[in-house]
Amino acid sequence: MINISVVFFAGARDIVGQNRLEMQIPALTSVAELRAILMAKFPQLESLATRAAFAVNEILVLTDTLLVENDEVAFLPAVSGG
Amino acid sequence: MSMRIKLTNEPIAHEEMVENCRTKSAGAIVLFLGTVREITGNEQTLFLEYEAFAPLAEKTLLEIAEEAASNWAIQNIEIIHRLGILHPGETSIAVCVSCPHRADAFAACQQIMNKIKEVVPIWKKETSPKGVSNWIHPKN
Repeated sequence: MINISVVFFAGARDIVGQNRLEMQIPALTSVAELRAILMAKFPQLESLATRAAFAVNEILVLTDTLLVENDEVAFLPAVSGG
Repeated sequence: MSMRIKLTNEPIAHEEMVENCRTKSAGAIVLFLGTVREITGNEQTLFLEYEAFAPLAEKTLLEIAEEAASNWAIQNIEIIHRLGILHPGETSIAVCVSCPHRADAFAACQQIMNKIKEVVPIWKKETSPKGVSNWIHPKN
């Protein structure tokens, strides 16, 4: 198992109830698999999760990226700036 | 060429941005201001609250500015996005671009705004006069 943290913003943070979650996940979990874990843990997150982008350590990544110990994953729901 | 990017909780001083972009090599300065609209459809907005994933938002804004600079003859560029609580009429974003000719400046400004709306990790929450708040997450 590896330790990672996930940070949430905007509507996703409201659903999760906190802006940062410390998690233990199996080694070699991909971002897409993490998304599925999060959707199972927080079913209301589903509609945001399917359109979310993800950053690992402040860099945007594709969802096949594999996570490693101490990664910080940012869950980025569809944006509405401007 | 200068490129300035900023996220701020303070009101945006757009006159300063125009002066920052002004240069003898430019024949055109285009300033775009995005302002908080009070009425959208049938809904009234009491205020908006903007938040950002700041480190990535700044990085992404810089990439957008660099892409614009590679597409058009931009002399100077400055982008400021406001965060926190904003009331109708206030400026939420300002993009200022100077170019030798106006067509480039208009086009660059337009592309920069389109990209910002699409990819920069910034979100807004609308609050109505009845006190109902909703984060805006576009569906497409």
